[in-house]
Amino acid sequence: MYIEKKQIQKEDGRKLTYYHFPETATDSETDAFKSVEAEVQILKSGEKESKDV
Amino acid sequence: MSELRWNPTLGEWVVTATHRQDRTFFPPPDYDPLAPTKPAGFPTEIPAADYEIVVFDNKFPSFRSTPPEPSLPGSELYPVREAAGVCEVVCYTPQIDAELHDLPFKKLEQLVHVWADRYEELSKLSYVDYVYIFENRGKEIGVTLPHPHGQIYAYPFIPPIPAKELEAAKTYQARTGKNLYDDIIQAEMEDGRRIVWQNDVFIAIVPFYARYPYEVHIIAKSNITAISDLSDEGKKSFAEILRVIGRKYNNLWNRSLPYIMLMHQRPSDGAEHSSYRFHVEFYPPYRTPDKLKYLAGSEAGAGVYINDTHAEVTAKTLREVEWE
Repeated sequence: MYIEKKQIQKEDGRKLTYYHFPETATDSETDAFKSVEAEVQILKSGEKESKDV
Repeated sequence: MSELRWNPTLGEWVVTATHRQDRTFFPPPDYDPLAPTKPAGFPTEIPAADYEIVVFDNKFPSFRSTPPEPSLPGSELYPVREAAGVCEVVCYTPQIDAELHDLPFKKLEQLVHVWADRYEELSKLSYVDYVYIFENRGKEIGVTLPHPHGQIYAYPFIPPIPAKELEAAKTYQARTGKNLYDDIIQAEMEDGRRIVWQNDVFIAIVPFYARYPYEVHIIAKSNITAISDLSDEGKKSFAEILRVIGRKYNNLWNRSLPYIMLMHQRPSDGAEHSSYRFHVEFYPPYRTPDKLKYLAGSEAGAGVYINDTHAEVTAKTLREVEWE
């Protein structure tokens, strides 16, 4: 399974991680993930070997 | 303010978390703190217009990565420690009325991968000895936020119940040369009466020693000691059996059944735990459609559970409940 994640720090300092599954994500989910300003980490490699940050 | 206080009479830690008295308690229906934050909408915990799965530090944690100083110094009789650890909330759907077992299968499979990732990430922390993944469902359990969500507690010690299981498994192996969970699975396969469902990787039983009438344990058939040990196919099998058990529970009395769902697995304390076995336990509190099993004097005060049913009977009932 190919998974991407982004971790941010909320205003109060707490960590929050978004998990994104490009193979099944809707446009709304994909847009929301893209709008998060953080580096993409690839959790598993599947069809895609790398991802531009 | 949270801290660990040692109970010398039981040899275990108690966590005090006084700030949790003010945690969110049944928010108004028009405010869902676990929903996405819509444009021009009220800010929620998730500052995005949509999400698939999101995991974040609990706003009212019992453990923190940078814990506060304890409220008092402690003593040789009553040691006190900082409550170092992590408490996370796992939001696996933006829909407030969704249920874990009715998610599209691919979504449930994705959640298993997220759980495995959180287990691996939190296990790496030097101050974490045990990663505990669980979900409380239903107001009868004490849930105060209706939006479906799970939690993860990363403890700085191995909690008492997993610790007892670990010791029992180790002692059994030392005494017999065999794995306790292998023998349990073999006994259940030979008997058959307590099996609820199974696939190639997992078996779901009402245990011989069930404490709740409809308690179910899902046990890995091979020597898997943590969720992260599962292959992708293993994770798919795990998602499948979770879905089956969850749907059987909901179809039992044709309503969403409250329960605690928890995972017991290998600690992250660096010790070898090969005699152990990854498994899930469900504790549904209802013993009939309208009667709760309370943890009263014998259970709470003596640690002795009184089960009003036999596992063979309730397992048969669950086995015969439709799930598809």
